Amino acid sequence: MSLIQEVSSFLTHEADLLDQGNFEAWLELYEDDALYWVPSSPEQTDMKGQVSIMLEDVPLLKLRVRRLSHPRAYAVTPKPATIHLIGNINASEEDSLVMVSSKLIMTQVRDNVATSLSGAVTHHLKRSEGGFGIKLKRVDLIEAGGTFSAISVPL
Amino acid sequence: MLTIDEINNIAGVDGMQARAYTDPDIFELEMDQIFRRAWIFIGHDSQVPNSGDFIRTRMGVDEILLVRQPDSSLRVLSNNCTHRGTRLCAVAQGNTKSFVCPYHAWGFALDGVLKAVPDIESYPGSFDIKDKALHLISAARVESYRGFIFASKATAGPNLYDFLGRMTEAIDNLLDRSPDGEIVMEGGHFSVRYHGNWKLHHENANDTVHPGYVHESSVTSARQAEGGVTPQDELVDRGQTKGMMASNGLTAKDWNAIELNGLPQGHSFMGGFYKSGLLAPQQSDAAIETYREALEASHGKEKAAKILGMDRFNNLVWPNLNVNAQFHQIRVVYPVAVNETIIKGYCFRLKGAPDEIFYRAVRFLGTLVSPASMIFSDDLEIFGRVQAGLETGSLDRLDSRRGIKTDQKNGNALQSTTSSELPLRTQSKAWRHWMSPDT
Repeated sequence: MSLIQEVSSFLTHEADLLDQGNFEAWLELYEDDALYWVPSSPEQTDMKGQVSIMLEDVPLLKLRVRRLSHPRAYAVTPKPATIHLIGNINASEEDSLVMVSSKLIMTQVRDNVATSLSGAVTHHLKRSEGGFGIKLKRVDLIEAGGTFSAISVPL
Repeated sequence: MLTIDEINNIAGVDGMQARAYTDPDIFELEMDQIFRRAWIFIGHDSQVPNSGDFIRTRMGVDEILLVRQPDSSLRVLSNNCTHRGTRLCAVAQGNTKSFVCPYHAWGFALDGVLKAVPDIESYPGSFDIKDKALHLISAARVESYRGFIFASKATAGPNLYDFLGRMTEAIDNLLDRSPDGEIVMEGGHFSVRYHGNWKLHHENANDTVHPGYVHESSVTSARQAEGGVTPQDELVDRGQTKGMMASNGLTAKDWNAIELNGLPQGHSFMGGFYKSGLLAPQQSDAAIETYREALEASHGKEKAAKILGMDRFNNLVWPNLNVNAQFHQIRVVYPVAVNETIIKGYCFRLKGAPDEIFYRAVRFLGTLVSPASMIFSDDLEIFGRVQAGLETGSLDRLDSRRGIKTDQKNGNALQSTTSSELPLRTQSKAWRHWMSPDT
């Protein structure tokens, strides 16, 4: 398999887990020291001095996932249906890391209301026994800087 | 226009009528009577520090430009050209010498005066470029309180200081928390939309019963969260998020210990949120110690302790500002339509305080007001459900009688130490006042 094929199959798997609502299995794709980042503006480099839509390490992602399964998490009750569509994948291997860029369109339907978010995604993947582990996922939404409705499901 | 009897009936003593949240005609009247006459928060000094600096924002449903003048005063201009109504400026902020319409190049000076009309010789004699109606209509009054800029389109009415009343204490406290006595809006902002009437936001912010229910999922998840700190924690969170989420899990007894204060102008604030020691003020670490020392160097030990000890959580300036002095944040309410509202959240850097104190304000804003917030998203969901419920027409009047017997007079303010709906009654009274035809 070529690197692109390997990476493409991994990203598709990640998207499928999110769309299935299998967030526990989704979290297992992340390395213990991973970072998950949705900046609030394009080209953002500052994590501390500028707000982020999401900036979470694994313990916080676990907390988020735990909340998603809480029976009284009203923002996700009823649960939205989602499609995470991945495309335009590019990958290169540098030392021990695989750097991946892709495009994401996430469509969500809840209570008959459809919303969508789109962005450029960066993955830093570490090769591991079973395939890859995510060290960094960064999603640069084209909507960043504008007005959002609540975002309840991870991108 | 509604009659005084209709106004009093809609904003009844026991609760607002549902149509105040669903009737587009009432919304239009609110924009005229409240958002074009009362003092509306527009922005902060640090957003427009220099001559020609401007931001594009909204005052109620009107799109406006807040512009710093060459003499350092401030003007609020309409962002619509007086020729064809075209939106003049399409960027969020910037610096300029004039505003020129993209359509037929009508040019306006920084103070809104019309200066240039191409092909002016084709106009009849009745067309006078000096005619005030052709200037960008500006708010009649723009006043600041210590850098917080408000505007009113009414030529008469209370001055800003009287309008704010004791809410100046919250702004004073925020300024006092800076060792240099200066704050700067910084770190980006959030803009979040909900499907619901604008009043729902302020009605919720000082409601002390909902957190135990609406935020139960985030409280429980934070309490059950495994310990353990990753190498990224220093970069990401420094333990803040869990603490904030868990803090909504006070017992009913704790919530009852919170004082609620309602001011005659419609404003309200909570006191004593940190009595149970769940949040930061009682904690200490290296950054807080450095900060405290800087503050003591400026103010002396006693005053510094008093400044840091001021324990008011949501300071609601009616109708559109929420000041959280302790965490150096504000939230602003922007009505869009009778059933649509935008909330924007901003934070401040305290000049003279360590960077780490600013980073915590940034993190606080993200945890609380990001569209992906595990706390705020549940509030937004509830606002949507209230709106959906009211739009069915099944309820004539919302009930805001909780705690009505425990309201105590404190000067011209009301005070309660139960989880009272006093803030709702305070807001409804202000609504009655401004909506009345004689005000």
